[in-house]
Amino acid sequence: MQKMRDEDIKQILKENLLQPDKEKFNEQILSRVEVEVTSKKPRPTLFSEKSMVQWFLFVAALVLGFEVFYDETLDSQAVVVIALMCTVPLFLLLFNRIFALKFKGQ
Amino acid sequence: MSRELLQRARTGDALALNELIERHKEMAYSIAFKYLKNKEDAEDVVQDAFVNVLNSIKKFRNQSKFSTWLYKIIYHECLKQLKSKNKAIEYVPQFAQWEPAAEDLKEEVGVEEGLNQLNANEFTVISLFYLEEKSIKEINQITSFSPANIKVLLHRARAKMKEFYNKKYAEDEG
Repeated sequence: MQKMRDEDIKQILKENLLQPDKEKFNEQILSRVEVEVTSKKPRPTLFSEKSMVQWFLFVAALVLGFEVFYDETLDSQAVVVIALMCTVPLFLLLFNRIFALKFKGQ
Repeated sequence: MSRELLQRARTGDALALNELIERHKEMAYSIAFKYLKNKEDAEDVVQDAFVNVLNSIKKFRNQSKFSTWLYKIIYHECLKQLKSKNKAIEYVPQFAQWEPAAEDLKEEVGVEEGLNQLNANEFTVISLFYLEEKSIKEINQITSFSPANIKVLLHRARAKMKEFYNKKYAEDEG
């Protein structure tokens, strides 16, 4: 005689679950739900935030690599250029947020 | 079920709300139908319960709490309807000791009748335990049965299902 395992019980129960007949069963529920139902449009942005972060990390890694492998001291002009390159994505992220705020609530 | 789905549902994401209904509606409807034995009444109870729970979705931090509350509403709404229609509710003895009755074990179950042999309380308890993986404590929160009663119902339901399973297996082999 086959021994009944927990998986067998689950299987039998699952096979015997009933499905409501009513047409548009889910839709009728959703139409009565008072949570503000949205179809979630992505907020418009000027630049891809992911690539901004990637850019920032890339430049930071480049500077770190340069510092580690080349023992030369950087002149002040190079420091300013690197600092600018690092901060540009941060500014772009800020512009993105300001741009997205314009569409908030629409 | 992920927290992410619940999080999306909280923000009103229609797809996430629909997914939540999809995940629970069969179980919810099966329990309601088992008690009410009427399709329309069972569907109405389940829809009302979903509306009630989804309107308060911001209160839930995880799905377990969500489904526990959903089944609790359904169970108690079914009892209310049975009471209003003066239908007898299956008696569950309180403070019952866990002691399998000999006749329960010998109970004959026809294969063709399948799970119809389980009464509403047995079906609810065993389904919540195995399919929803609810603990005895959670089933107690849903049904208000004492832990001892839940164990008795689980034992009886398992015995009936074992009988059904063995007959089915014997038929398949024969």
